[in-house]
Amino acid sequence: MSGVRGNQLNLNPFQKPILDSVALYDYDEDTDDSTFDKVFRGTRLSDGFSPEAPDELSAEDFESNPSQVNSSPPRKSLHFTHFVPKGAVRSRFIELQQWEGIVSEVSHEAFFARLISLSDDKPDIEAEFAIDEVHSEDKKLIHPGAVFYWSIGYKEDRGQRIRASLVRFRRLPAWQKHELEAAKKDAKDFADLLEWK
Amino acid sequence: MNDIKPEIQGASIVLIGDFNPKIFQPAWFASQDLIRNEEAKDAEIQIVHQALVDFSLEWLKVQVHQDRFSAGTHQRPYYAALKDLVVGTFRILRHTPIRMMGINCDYHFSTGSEERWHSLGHRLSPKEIWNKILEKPGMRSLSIEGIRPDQHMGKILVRIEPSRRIQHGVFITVNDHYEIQEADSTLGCDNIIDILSESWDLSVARSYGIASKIMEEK
Repeated sequence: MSGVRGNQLNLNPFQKPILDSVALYDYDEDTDDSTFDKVFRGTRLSDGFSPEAPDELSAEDFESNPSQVNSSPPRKSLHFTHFVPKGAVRSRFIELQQWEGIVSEVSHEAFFARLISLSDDKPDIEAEFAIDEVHSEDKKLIHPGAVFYWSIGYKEDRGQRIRASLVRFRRLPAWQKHELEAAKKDAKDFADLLEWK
Repeated sequence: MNDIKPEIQGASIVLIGDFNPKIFQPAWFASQDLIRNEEAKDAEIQIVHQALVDFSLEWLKVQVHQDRFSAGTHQRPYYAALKDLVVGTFRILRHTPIRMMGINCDYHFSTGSEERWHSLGHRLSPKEIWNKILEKPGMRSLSIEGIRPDQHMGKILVRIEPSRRIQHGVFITVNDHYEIQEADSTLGCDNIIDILSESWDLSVARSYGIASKIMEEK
């Protein structure tokens, strides 16, 4: 754990300029104007939000431009923080519900799992999945105790909307020796604390 | 909680430290079993350079500089996979010095009408003062910073702008910023990756709560 809270921030209405946090939200000044969405151009000016696109780009606009990168050495200011590429609006998954599943039993053609809702507080449920529903490269990951994520919803692609179900098994590196030793030590410390013999 | 749902959303994890970008190629992720081989094969590689790597999968975008690692997705079902990928990567590369982390969530909400759009802008940035200073003042960007509600070092930064992707929409981005205590003597990344592993779900939920609250306030 990383330690305790450090400098308490002054919560005056007028905050000092936030310079260090910008490090995680840099703006790219290279993107040309063609990346602006013109939706606000030409609409009437009003005083709630400003309808004009800003002259400077925000993190919202950033999309890395490899041609620029290739033509000159990479600059430190070339950063990205935003992950809604233009194409995403044409193809996206509208999630209705997501569960985390824990495999409890595996048979020849199916596996059983306990599903914990990640979308709401509904109680856990048990479910059976056909192994064929799992991507061929994920089948080797199906074993008791394995964790997967199951999402249901709609996939929208170029104006078409279809029901979709997505099963993806968790991929984490195998436990390493130092992690197992740390876990054993934690367990022992906890047992000692409770005076379990 | 208001029932309003974002039209578009994305999440990213940004790490600040010292990285060797050339390691972070799709084939390396596949060789470590962090992504599928098929995904690595189909990856769209923008650049592989000793100073910068940039590639995308169907659900993932990765960009690594010598001082910064970023990974993100714009697909909600892959949020957990994104976290697992970053945790897995730096469990393997555990000696990578990492000093700071941002868990960033972006949302585009529709307000449904121009009237509601302006109403939200007025509420967030009242114009009483600005009307005396500028003609037709309008809100372009608003950033508000708050202290962390937990024991970690860092801050929470919220920024709101008109959406450029949705008509009469609002773009909200929440930067959940973490720092480790002794950044100068950081030798590895176990601390920050432990925080990521433990805080991800809470951070994503908190960011959504913040964004929803902004949209639902009357």
